[in-house]
Amino acid sequence: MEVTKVENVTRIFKIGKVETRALNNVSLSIENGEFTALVGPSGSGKTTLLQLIGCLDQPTSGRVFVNGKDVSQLNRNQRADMRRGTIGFIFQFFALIPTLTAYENVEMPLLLNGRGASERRERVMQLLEAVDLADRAHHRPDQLSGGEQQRVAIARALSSKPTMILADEPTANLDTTNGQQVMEIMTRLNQETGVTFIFATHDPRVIKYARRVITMRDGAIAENGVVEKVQAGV
Amino acid sequence: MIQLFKMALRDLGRNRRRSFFSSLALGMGLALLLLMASFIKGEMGSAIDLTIRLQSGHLQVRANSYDEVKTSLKWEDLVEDPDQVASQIAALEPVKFATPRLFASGIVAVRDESAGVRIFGIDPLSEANAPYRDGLVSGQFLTSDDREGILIGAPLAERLDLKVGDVATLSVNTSNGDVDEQAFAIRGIYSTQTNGFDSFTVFLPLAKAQTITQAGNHASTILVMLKDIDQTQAVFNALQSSKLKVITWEEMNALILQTEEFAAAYMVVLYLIVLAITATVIMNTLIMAVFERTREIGILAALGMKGRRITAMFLAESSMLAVGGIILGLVLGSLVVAYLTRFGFYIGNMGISGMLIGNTIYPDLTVEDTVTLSITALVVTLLAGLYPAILAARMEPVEALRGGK
Amino acid sequence: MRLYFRLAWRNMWRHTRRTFIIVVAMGLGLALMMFYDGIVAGFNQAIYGNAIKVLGGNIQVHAEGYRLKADRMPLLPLTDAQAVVDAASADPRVESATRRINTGGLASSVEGAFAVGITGIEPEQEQTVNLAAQHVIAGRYLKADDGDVIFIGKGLAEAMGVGVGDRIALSGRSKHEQMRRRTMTVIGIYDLGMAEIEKRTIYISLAEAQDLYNLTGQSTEVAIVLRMLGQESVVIEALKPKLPGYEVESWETNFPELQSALGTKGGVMNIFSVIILMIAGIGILNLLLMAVYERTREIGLLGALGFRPSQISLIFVLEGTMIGLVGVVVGIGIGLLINGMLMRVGLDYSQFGNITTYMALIEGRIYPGWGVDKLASRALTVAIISALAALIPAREAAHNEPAKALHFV
Repeated sequence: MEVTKVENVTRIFKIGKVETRALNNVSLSIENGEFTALVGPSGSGKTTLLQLIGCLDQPTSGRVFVNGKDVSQLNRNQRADMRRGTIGFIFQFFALIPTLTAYENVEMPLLLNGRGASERRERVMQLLEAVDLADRAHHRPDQLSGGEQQRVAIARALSSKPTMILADEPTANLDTTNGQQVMEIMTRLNQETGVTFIFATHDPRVIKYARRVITMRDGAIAENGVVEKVQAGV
Repeated sequence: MIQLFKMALRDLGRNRRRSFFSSLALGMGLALLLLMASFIKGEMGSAIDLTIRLQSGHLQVRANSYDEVKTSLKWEDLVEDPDQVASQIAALEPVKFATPRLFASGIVAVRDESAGVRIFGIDPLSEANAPYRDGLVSGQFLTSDDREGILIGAPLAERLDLKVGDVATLSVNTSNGDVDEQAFAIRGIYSTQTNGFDSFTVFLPLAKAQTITQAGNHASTILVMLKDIDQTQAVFNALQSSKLKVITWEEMNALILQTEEFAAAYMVVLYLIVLAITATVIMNTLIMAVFERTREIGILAALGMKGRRITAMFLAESSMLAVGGIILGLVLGSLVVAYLTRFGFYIGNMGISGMLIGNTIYPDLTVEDTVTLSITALVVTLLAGLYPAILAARMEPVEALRGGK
Repeated sequence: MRLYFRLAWRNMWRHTRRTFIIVVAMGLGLALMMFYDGIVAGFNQAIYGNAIKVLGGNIQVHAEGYRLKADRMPLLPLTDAQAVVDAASADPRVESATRRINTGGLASSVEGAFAVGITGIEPEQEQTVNLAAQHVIAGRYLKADDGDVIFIGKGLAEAMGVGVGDRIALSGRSKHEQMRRRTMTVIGIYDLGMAEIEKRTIYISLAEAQDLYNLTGQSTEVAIVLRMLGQESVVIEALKPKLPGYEVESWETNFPELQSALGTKGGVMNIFSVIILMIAGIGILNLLLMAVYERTREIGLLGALGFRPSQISLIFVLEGTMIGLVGVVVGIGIGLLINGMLMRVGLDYSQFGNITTYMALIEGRIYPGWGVDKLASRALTVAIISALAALIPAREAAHNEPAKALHFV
């Protein structure tokens, strides 16, 4: 089952008088449960593609489907609603709301979706335990380390049971140990819950964990391979 | 130096909206101050003008024992042979005109109703009484030999439902402490647009007033108007005599002057508040701007720009904001004052009888007030900008470069 | 949702200093309004107490049509004054209800002439409630059957240069064409310490007034004194149905200029305050613009999480409004402080005694009140201006596509 598909998608940015073609006629399809990396140097368009899939942006031409629905022409409100329940995000800069505690950050999507108080409480604690941060639940981001913050972000991304999680350079600001920890958690969650993970990255450590690697260069897809990974002491 | 200001202008332009709103805050503050000042000047100024023109004149000459409050008609309290005295005074060069007047208290009654009034016995031919003649709303002005006519104010006519030609009874106190009563015909109705005056003042020809009050050849006062108000002191000195008392308009209007001082004190408090609020708003914005540009400051410092120059840079910016704000304020303020000067600000009847205030106030924006307030606003704004400018200079380059939230 | 409030509140305090400065600015604006309200309250208070003493009651009942001509004190007799007195006295909140005749006249002595209000009263009934009766300093108070005598205040006695036993000429209207004129003797002088008011009033017995003004057996007013202050409107509501065809009014209607003066001054003050609040509002606007800029990435994140543009705007509008409301709290503190101090010290208004009738009622100092009676509407004004100030930044916040905002460095 396809969780997302892009068809002949082009994205042109206009900054002042300069036009940049970030994506050029890209087509791609991703199945449910995948653990896939979009790989390429900066400027290759991987982030842009991720943004389009995540309904954060609109293509200049072409179509984007999420869960079979055409999202390319939705207005901003509709796209916001789309993101609310269906898609989770993880960013390079952790992107937690600084004025909220870890608990409250993870709770946020549940609140937005109108879940009841006890249901929220249960789910948040469950998620925090899954990322091994139950004891730091009431700390604010400025009291957490980089690795801890990213783990909270993962918990938050999962909290409303999205169909897919999009991660943009999730390990870029983490050291080796933390980066490894974060990738292992995400792998486990993908296997346990079946949530689709799509990464944009140029970090070889991340690519190692991906089951499918899509290489991009200059706004187009260069290679679209499925890699079977054997976790043998790598 | 020019370089500094050119840079300042460019920096302000980088965040045009914020700069605009900061200047706007100052502009609104200044406009408000200008409006307040012009109002008070207008109100007080007109009160004095009005009182001089309608009531007190520049000087009055009276008997030594006359008490305005009691409107006594005893001969010893009055000026004898008033026409003579008046023409003697009028002979003096700075005097525009001098005219005798007789004051009495009375009641105008018609049908079931009555109203307390004060009676002015006047010389209808004197120029001093032009305001009332010019203010005639209906009917005719009085003539010197009219024995049965009375001139009343429009508010009084309305209250008692009187028209020209109607008859009303006037009761007046007399010089021997008695009260005399006579029917009068309304010859005319006047209005000076001053409720406090028009509601209570009625006019009779001097001769008739003297007869009905049995004052004989006496008057309560000689009203003196000068060609130039600044001559008051000089004429005051010239008129000194042992038999008669001379008082100036300042003495007669002590209450208004006192009220003006009172109001001025209140105004200072209000001015301070407006300035305080405006200054805090501007200072806040400047502080935020400094923090926004922390990294830039760090770079400049690292490049070797001394603290003082950094301060100067920010001060230049805040002073340009200040100038912009002042200009905006002057424009805004002038527009509103101009509008109100044309159309007036109607305050209606405040029931004030002890101090004459016209029904409509016209603001008076003096150059002095404008300059004072503008300079004050400018200084306050510059001071407000001092703190952020110093803050900027005090930043450590390293911190600044690392910071830049 | 509570989430919004939580976010807005915590956002406010991210930069304590700048929020605090603006909060203080707003607070000053509110404090100014409270200061003014306090003075008005003090004013009313000062006038109130004295007015009742002078008018002989908290509530006056007149015949229909009296109010229109009130400033001329017309001789409009009540249809059945006794019935009015009975109806009023039946109410337990009423301490006394007495009949009066009010008219205007001219009092003259050799010293001069004064336009005065002439009030015919029932001396025995008013004995306990009429303050003048309780402050006699020379001669004696009136008796019901007194004729040709007057009871005046020290202020008038001095102005007219008369003492007990002296005579004055009194002219007033009568019900018919002529001005009734009489020579009267001063039978007593009272001192209430209100010279300006005393100069405008002369008391005679009701019987005398009825005779002088051809109102045999009638009166033009019933003056009602209440046991407790502040109950005017309640009692008026209770009495109105029992007294159809009469005008039942509280003391304030006797001073229409007071209401209009307060109204005008109040109106000017309101405009003034609003402008000041708008200046402080610009402070909020700039502060929030800054915040939107600083939090661009965070706003992008909110968008990514699924907040709609309007919801993002709401957060900022709430933030602005809350800044205003905290300003209200601070302002209340400042206002109470200032008014509290002034309340002790008072403001000296004594020299304005002879400007207007109502100013004359203020003897000496005015003590401002707390200034909280209009607080609700003032606070609302602050909240509205704050919210409006937040609109531009809020629109700005929702403007960018999340993608753009997120990659903003």
